[in-house]
Amino acid sequence: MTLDTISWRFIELETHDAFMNMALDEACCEAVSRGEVPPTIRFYRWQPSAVSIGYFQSLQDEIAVNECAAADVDVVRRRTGGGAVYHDYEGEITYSVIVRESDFCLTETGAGATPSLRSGAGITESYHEICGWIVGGLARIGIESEFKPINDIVARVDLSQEDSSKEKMEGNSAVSALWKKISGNAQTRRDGVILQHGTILYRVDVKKMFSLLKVGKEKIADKLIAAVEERVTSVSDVCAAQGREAITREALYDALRAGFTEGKKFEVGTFSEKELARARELAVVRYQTDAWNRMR
Amino acid sequence: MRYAATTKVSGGKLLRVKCEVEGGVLTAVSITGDFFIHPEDGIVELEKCCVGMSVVKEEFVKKLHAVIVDKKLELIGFSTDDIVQTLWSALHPDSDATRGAR
Repeated sequence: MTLDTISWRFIELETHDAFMNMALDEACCEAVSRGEVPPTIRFYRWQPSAVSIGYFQSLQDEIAVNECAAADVDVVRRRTGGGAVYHDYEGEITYSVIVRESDFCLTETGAGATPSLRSGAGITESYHEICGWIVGGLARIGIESEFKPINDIVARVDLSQEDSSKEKMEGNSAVSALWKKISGNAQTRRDGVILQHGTILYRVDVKKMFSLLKVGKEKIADKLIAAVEERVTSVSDVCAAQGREAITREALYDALRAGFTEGKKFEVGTFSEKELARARELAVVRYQTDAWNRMR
Repeated sequence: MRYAATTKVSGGKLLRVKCEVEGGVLTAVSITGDFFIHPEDGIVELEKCCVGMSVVKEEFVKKLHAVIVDKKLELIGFSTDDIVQTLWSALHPDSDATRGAR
């Protein structure tokens, strides 16, 4: 079987708090590993807004915990590596793809005439494949983007005439657009199951983000905020650079949904009662605890 | 004594190493950052293998490599050499060889 021939469960956009969102991913991984539910694609938002940190990060080193509490922003450790992410309720859409490694076969078309199947795609290959679904979704709303290893997607941001002239003055004569990060992704593989989750930025508030992450005072300087703004973009920013009205978040979701399901067999479904019960348990015994969140 | 250093791996991820040394022997090591290790539990093995080592660079390299091979670890966004370099940088903050790694 390949990704295109297996039957997927598609769970429409839901909203949960940080602990339940991470617990649902884990409960679903367990159910997929046991073969109780199909491979699953889910979309979700975070309410209240939250900061998630990578599995290997130190919460104490990375997060301004008091500022998060004051801003009613939850903090949770992910099961996946990668960096700290601010999940603004209004500012992004998150997805998870949960599939058995043995089902994650990519079709190789290469130079040979006959496509062959290869089980257990490598980590970079699987990032590339799933990120391709995001790229396909963004293309539907007129946003050109591409996978940028290790785990990012960058989007083309057209330069204004003024910015283009500045680039030309700096010697970049051919520059009419820049490529900036619009999506970050992370993956784990446990018990024979791949979990990849990631965010697609709809709107970015760099100042808010910096107020919640622990960065050296020297880094909060306007200069650094400008540097991040030069590196990171969002669907709204790309639309503005293209001189058109921002598309709605609903339109972004529709486009992503189409990008993720295109060419696949899928049924719209919900989490099973068993998954929900397990997720509620995991939220309490793992994701809400200091033992987990402050383990590094 | 406690030591710490941070490296931004070129084209890779951020790596922070904190350690404690008593009598020329590492008594605790913590490796954190925005990198990836598959499987994730391998981080504990990497940290554990450093404890009890004397502060000799070649010994770090050998031991870390052995754990990576033995536990079939895949490091993404950094390498064994980056861990060693950052650890070395923490232990020898004024060394020319490590300057720039922090």
